[in-house]
Amino acid sequence: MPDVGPRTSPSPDWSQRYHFLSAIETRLPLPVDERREVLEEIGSHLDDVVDDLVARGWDAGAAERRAQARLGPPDLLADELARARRSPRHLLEAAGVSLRVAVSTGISGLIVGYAAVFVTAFAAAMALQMIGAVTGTGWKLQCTLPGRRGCVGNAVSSGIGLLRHDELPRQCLGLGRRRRN
Amino acid sequence: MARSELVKGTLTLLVLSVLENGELYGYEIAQRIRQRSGEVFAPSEGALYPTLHRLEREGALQASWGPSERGPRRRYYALTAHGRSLLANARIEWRTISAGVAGVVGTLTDA
Repeated sequence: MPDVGPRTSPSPDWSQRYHFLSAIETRLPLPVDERREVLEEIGSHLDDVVDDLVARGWDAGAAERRAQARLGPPDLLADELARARRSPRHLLEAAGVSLRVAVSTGISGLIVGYAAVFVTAFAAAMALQMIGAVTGTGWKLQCTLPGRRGCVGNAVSSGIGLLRHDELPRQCLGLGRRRRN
Repeated sequence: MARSELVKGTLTLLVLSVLENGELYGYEIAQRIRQRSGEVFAPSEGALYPTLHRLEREGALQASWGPSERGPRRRYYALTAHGRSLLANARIEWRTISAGVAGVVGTLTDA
């Protein structure tokens, strides 16, 4: 919020000043301290112009409007000020921040995506294994990957198989009818 | 051509010139340019502050806050050594260009 006071200028309506400075503030991509200083400087300039015009017989409200008009549209002034204050260092910092955000978002997205696929496959395999065991339907998981034994091993193998784009039923999570003696 | 259009490209030179004799704040700079031009022109105040901030970023000006008699602080601008060197070069450029323009305008007037 722009600070418009305390001032001794004879402007009767601070809302005009507030709206003008707010419009500048919203378009200034600067740190808070720098933004505050820019607004203070522009406010001080408006005070000077208003004082000058009032001393020459202008009405205070009209003087405020005239002072703002002399600075031009606030959004244009803000854009020009932002451009003027943008150094190569600022541009590099902005580029660095964007790159860091893009990379971290990409990596975390990849991790979350793979984890979601793995957990889903693991849960599905566990569920099938348990259903087969509890209902005695004769269905069981048949993991064909070497060294994998038991329910958990089958489920883990299923998850890995999915991540490796193996064919789920045939290579890793095979469903077969239990042979009865 | 509008007078403001002619002045626009010279704003940097005008600002550096009026700061040659000491530090001034924004409104004073605009007033000083108006006075020294014999009230012929005044810089656009909307263009003045971006120019001041650009020159400060480039190291030609140094800004500092100072008190004013009315309460709010004022931002004073002073030339740096780099700014003085920039002013000297800009003056040479200006003399060359203005002599060239005068030559062309004079030729057109004569025709």
